[in-house]
Amino acid sequence: MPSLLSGLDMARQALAAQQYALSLTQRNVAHANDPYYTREAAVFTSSISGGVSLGPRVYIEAARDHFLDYGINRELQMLGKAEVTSEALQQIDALFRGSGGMDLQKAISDFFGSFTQLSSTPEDRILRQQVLSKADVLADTFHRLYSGMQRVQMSQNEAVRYTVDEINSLTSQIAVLNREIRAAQGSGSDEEFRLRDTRQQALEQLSGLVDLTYYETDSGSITVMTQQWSLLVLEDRSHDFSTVTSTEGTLELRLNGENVTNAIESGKLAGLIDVRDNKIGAYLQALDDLAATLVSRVNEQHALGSDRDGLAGGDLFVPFVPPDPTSNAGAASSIKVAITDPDRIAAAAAGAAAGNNENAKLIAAIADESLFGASQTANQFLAALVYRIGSDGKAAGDEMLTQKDVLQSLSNLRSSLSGVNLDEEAINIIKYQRAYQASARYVGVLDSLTNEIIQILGA
Amino acid sequence: MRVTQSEIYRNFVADLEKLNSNLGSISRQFSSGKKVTRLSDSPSASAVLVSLSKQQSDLEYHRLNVDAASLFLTVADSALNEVNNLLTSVHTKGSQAASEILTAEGRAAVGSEIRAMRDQIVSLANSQARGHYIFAGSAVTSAPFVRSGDAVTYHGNEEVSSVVIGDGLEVRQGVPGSNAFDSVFRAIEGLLDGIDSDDLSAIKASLDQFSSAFSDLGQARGQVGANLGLLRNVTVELESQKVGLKEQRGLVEDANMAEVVVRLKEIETALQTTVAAGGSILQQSNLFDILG
Repeated sequence: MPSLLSGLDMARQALAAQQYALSLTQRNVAHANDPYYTREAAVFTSSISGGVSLGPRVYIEAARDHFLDYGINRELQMLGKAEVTSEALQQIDALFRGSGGMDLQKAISDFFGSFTQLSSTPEDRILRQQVLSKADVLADTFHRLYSGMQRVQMSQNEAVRYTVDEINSLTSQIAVLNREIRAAQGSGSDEEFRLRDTRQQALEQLSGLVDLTYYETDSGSITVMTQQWSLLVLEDRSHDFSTVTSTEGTLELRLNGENVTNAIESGKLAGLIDVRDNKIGAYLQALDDLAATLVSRVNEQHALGSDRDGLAGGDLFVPFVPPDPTSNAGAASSIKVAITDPDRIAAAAAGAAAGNNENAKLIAAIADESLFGASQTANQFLAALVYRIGSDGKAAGDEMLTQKDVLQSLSNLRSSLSGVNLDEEAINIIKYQRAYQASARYVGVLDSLTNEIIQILGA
Repeated sequence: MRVTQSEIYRNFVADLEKLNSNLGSISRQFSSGKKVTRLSDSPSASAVLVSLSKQQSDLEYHRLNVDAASLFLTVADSALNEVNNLLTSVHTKGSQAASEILTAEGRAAVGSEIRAMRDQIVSLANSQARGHYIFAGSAVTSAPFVRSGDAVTYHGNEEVSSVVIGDGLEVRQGVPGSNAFDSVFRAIEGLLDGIDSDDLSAIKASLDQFSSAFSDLGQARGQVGANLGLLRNVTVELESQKVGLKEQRGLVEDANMAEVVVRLKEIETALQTTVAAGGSILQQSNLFDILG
């Protein structure tokens, strides 16, 4: 049976405990709108000494679910990639749409159409001039589209540079937080929980940028690695990404001395590199293939005919000599009309008179030849490219929406666990307030009891 | 399930964002009248549009060729008709010259009338359209018929160009001048020889040659007429193909405006309701308000 005075002691502990719990509530309310804040709950236990309860003890419990955090990190990585991909492809999409139809399609059709038209009056210098100007338009359209896509590609490349800077700053921030958390670890203090919230925030920002996986060690530190197990943060040390300019002028990624340019699978960084190298790279390659094939086939047919003066036809376009024999890179950006005198257009069959249109018809017919593979005309090749750009853009846009939905539901799950509910806090305040009042009253009662004893003894 | 205030706000914002993005895409359709305004709206429709655009362009160039061929053939047709009329007059004059009533002077006068008509025929045989000698075969840059004395010789060739006016469809843009006019000029030359030598039997014999000239002319007119007929049919056909392609294109890319308007209304309503609901949710009091 505890004494009156030990009852006072217990009351003091109770008052302190309720006060502490109230302060947690106050902090929860203050952070109600902080998405990274983890709600704190007061957990009451009894402290018992020598079989005697000494009153309540309170400690903080942060309502955090590490699996939810991990899941959110994974989804953020995929969202980061989808967002940046979708954004870049929208720019390419806009380049291809053009006003009133697709410029390149029209330029190709008009070029071959001008030969169809020339076939009606092959000696006509006006129609010959028209062929040259349509050929010029075709070359210009290739240049414009190519350089437009290249600009998007280069802006992706630039973005790689500052994304790497952001990543490096976040990993060093996490390393610093690792050290601080290690120091505060186990104290169960509010400081530890706030540090953890801040680290989680940095980790989630990092997830949007690069693919990563992480685990927490006993020391409270987290070890962060890329999905390919290359270290980003170990204890209080971070490993920086660096960039190297390749021979093609694009930035390559280095991490821990290795080239990881193609090893990053998700996050903004992966999206930027994928769009730059694989998506836009492939579109540019298709344009190059189209230009190179048209140039060589048209030149070949043109050389078989005779011009207006009966001379053998030369090159209509400047022949494309690939710097690298294994690819057509550079064809679309360098396509150029080789002749300026309309009389040099070889519309006639070899050796035939100026009014002969055989070669003009054969050149016009190239539009319907299967120049690509077994059964793909120039126009079908272009249609396939349009389809590809459209479906890449659609896939990225759809993925972005899906990821946003998934993330939203995960965030809802997390906030239902870790978030602050104001009604709940209001009730907690009342609960702790009443308990505090009751304990205070108890002190009053003990006071009057001891007072009574003192009165009796003093009399 | 615990529901937190910040979750309610977040969901509200996400819902608004989705509705606004739908509204954006619908109003793009509304203002452009097209359901495909981005390649990514429908990749397959975009690819179909590329091939439809090519077909439309082919059609346009075929139509230009039909117009050019029509011009050449119409000029040829009227030249051949004119030559036919002139040849009939020459034949009539020749019959007069064959009459015994006529004096030698009278016959010589008929001869000069015939020469004037012959010169007209030469000029018709050298007809041009768009600076192009239409009866010269492919030697279109110089006059095909050259007169020297009463002899008219052909300097063109037999190569008449044909042009593409449809998928796998070509039309010849004229007839070689030699087929149409060589026998004409030979007949006239024979007649003039007879008149110049005042030889009635030679004149009569030369008049018999006119039948082959009329038949050659008639054959040329027949060919030209048949090709003009083909062009008229093709013009109608191209026009209907053009309409067909336009309809196809419309089906692929045009927005169904009634549907768009209904969608637009739906989204507007949803947006208004969401905003109204969100407003009342955001103002919803929590226990703190009541506790005071």
